[in-house]
Amino acid sequence: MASPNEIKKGTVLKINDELWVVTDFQRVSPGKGGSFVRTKMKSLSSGKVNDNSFKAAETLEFVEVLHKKMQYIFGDIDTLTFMDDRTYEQVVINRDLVGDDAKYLKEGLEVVVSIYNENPIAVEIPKKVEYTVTETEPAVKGDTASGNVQKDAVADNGLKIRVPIFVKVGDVVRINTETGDYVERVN
Amino acid sequence: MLSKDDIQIRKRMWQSTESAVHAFFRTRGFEEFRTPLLVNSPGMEPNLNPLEVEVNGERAGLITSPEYSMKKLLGAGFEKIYTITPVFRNNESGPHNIPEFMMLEWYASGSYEDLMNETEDFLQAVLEDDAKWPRYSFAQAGVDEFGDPHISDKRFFVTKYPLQQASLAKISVDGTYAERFEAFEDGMELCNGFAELTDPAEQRRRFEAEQLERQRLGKTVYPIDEELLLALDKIKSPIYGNALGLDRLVMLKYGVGEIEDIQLFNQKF
Repeated sequence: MASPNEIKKGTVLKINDELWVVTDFQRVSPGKGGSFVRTKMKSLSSGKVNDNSFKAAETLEFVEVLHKKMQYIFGDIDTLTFMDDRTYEQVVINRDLVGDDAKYLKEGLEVVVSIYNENPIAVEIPKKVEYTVTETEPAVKGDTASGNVQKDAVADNGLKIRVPIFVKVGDVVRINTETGDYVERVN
Repeated sequence: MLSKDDIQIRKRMWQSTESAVHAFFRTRGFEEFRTPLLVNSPGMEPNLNPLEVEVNGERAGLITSPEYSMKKLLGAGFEKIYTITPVFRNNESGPHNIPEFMMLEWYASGSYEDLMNETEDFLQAVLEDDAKWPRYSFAQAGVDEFGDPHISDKRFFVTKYPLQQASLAKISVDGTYAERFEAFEDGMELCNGFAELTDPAEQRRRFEAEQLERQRLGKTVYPIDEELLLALDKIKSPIYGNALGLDRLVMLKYGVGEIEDIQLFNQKF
């Protein structure tokens, strides 16, 4: 048993005899109330998805899960392949498990794969990832007085992103994988 | 550190938003004030965690809201006032929360309805979006124990708060609800507005109850700001006030999902 503050992506909780894997979570300490953790969870048995919030002071039943650091190697239509850097062990995961986040994967990206009963049940990608811009309109030092003028661009893994107009092909940009937003240029 | 270009973009997002805020209030005859950040009584609410400091050997705190100073200005006789100020709250985290953030607060004479109508005009003007903000009562909105309303609309106001959540608000004439409201967009709380309680005796009672609760929670108990109570006593007409998170307004205006992604500097606490 432990506090909801220990929750991470890939955590497995036992609630009413059912096992749920946390697919998304937010730890919130709003000024007005006690701190709590908002989660999105998926049932390991039925695949049903639920939203649940837990007060920090509650206790929850955590089920033992292995969290392994792995690198993304490649993907095909149905599956994604990751490799454990230390053991070179490869794990092939169904694309469905990663869902929409798969668009952020690129070769060599370090992720955390959660394994329960020898089965991968979740993949956590870093919150901010760097990509090289391979396609975009020419950089313009235009009117940014209005605040946040952006244009379309394509990243080196094919991901479509929106970037400020001063970004050019070859620039490395950091993207927030939780919101999809451009964060900053890093070259 | 961010590059110059990136700092420039973020600065301009803030600048554009703030220009729109100033334009809105100045055309309506509001006067802008700056208020102290360092105070003896930084916040009485049991759930807030002010940052404490020692000043000349005495305990003091950084403001969690400019409200007390603003009400003293109202007590002095100013009628339409606003301020944009940093505020500080300990133990704040999450995609929309940081310990130091910018708050916009405004106060004027008028009713609960005036407050909500003006807020809607303000949001439409600053966000440059004519979309309406539908109103749901607290009960209709299904607000849960975490303060989250359960409505599918993109933007809305939650109104008519239960009496136990009155905070700084007056109770309605029929005594059934507190004249308090909050605005939400994309699940994010934007502002907390009140038809303000101006009865110093009732305010003193609420402060005393909050002091007891803070003591029960093992938190620092701050002294009651007596000058505030004297100021309230001088306010003779109904007034309203609103506290709005300016960082969140900038996030909404420019479609940025995380509060740290609009800051000019990277701070991690």
